[in-house]
Amino acid sequence: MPLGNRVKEFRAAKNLNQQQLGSLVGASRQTISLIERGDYNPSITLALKIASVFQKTVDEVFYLTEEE
Amino acid sequence: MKKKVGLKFALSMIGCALFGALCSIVANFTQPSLTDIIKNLSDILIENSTILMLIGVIPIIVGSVLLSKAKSTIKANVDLDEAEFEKTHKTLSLGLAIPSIIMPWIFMCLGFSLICTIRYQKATVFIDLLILILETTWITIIQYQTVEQTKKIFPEKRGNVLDRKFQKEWYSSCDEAEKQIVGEACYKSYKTMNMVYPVLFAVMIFVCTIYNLSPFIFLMLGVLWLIQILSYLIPSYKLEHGKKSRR
Repeated sequence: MPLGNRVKEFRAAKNLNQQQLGSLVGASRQTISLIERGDYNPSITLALKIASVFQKTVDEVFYLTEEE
Repeated sequence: MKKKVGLKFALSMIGCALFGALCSIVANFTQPSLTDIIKNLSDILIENSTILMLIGVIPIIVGSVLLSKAKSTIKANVDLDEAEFEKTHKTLSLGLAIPSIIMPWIFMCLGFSLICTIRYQKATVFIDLLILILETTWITIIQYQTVEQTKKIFPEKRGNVLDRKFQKEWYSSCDEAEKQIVGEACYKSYKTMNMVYPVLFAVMIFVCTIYNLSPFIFLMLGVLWLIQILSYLIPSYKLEHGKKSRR
């Protein structure tokens, strides 16, 4: 089941660019871009770090989608 | 399901055996012409090693153009927006990959050149060696500059191309997604090579029946295949069961 996310939306709300978010969570800009596009499923550690930057829970940022 | 897979495997084995038998029959009937084809092809490769080596300049030029394109974009504004970032990153990746794939080609051509020099007492190997030095230097400059430009858009990246520890440092500065990409690409490479080696052996066995081949070709292929298998199995065993296992 693919993983959906609202990283781009929350990042925009926090007024952060991909580079800044990447620096905050210890990931590259490319990785943030891959996550936002749904091309990479982050590890639990990275998902927790991202959710923590947005002051949200992991399941508010990441969710399972039905369709393949 | 198991039966179906087993049947598929058995059928593919029978198919391969039939193909092998067909190749032997064809080789037997066309032996003189096939020998001529291989001999002519060898002569063409040996006698034109310098031209073949110079063909290697084309991808290097393509790499240089891509690098300068990326360089000018980064120079204009290092804080690229998302679309520009993707485009520049792609350009840099291609700029690094295209000249790199020419390295085996250059060394292969040097081998042809060496055979030409030994066989025909020509001095081509010296000219080709000079071309090899120029091309590898040019490739190294492209690689160095591409890595430096990549560092500008990925400030967390570490390593110097000229340093022997470059691969290790670069890999350790990669994050989890980048390491996963490296891992998946390596696995695909392993899978591809595990298919390529048996095919190469089959081709060489076929060629061996019509052409006088050196046993070193089989030895070399066997050693390369063995290195491929061991370099995959040993680290994967260590990672799963060794002291540095990733638990």
